[in-house]
Amino acid sequence: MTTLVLAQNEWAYVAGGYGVTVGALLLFTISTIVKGRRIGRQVPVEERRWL
Amino acid sequence: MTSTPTDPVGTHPTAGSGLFRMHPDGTASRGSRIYGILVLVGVIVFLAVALLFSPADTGSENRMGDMIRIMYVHVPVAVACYTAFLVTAVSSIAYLWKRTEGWDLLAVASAEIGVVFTALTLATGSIWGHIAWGTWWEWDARLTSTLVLLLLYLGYLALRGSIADPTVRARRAAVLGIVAFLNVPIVHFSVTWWRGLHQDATVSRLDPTIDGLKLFALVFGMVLSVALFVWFMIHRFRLHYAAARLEAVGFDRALAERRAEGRSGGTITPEGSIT
Repeated sequence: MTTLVLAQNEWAYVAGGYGVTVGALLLFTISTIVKGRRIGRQVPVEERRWL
Repeated sequence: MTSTPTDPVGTHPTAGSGLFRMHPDGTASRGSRIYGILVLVGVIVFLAVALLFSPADTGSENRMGDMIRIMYVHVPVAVACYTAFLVTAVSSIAYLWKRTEGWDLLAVASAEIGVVFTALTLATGSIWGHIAWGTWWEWDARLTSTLVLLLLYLGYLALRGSIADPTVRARRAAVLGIVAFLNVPIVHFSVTWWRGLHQDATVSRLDPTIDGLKLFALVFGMVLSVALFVWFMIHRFRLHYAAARLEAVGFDRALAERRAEGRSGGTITPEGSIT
């Protein structure tokens, strides 16, 4: 019983760690794409050259 | 060619071609999208390996149980933050040498990504520490030096935000980008230079303390974090490139307005030219 409770407790921390990481990276990705589109639209056509 | 009625960028000669052809509105290109999909598939496979297929740690010298799964994200995000700050430092040196805008944009793009990965390193380390050490935070050498690293690069970004002149901003930021990187070796070797709660190296030694699927999950996570860093770099660099172009257009327009003011009766058209 103690082992089971400990294991469940560990999994809660594991879920927290993965949740924070995936969530933060997802937010950063969305923010990058949205900001890129917003700024990209304002750039004059002749200046739109990435590479 | 991709084009829209109001924005025929896909037909413009400078819009790139093939894999590098840009999205009409944003920072994506066909190549970056294909790469992004590959990274996304990698993330899904990694989550399956790290959370489902790899066993709990019961045999190694540290015996972490299921908590070892946090290491599969904690170590990779730390690797990505080292990589990001190395790119910032190298780009800063290149900027001071070449004085070209591209190196400056590369440096700031990398620093931003590094800040995100450093914050994640501290967050996942804190979660790990709460169950392993019984505390969310300890003024241990590794934790403290990592916090200093985060503050240094937040300062780097704040410095950039506080200077309007692009040339002065790039030069001062480049100096700080090089100086701040001196803290990275301190962070890395802090576990061997000072006694603390943080464990020693697990993988970067000749006899790793884990093996099999556990080692695979950790190494896979590290490779994936660098792949993610590259994806972010592509998009953040393009984002800053676009912002720099906008800034330049605004500067040219402001300059034209000042010149127009200097002439009697001079007016400025919406396109920025003087009549």
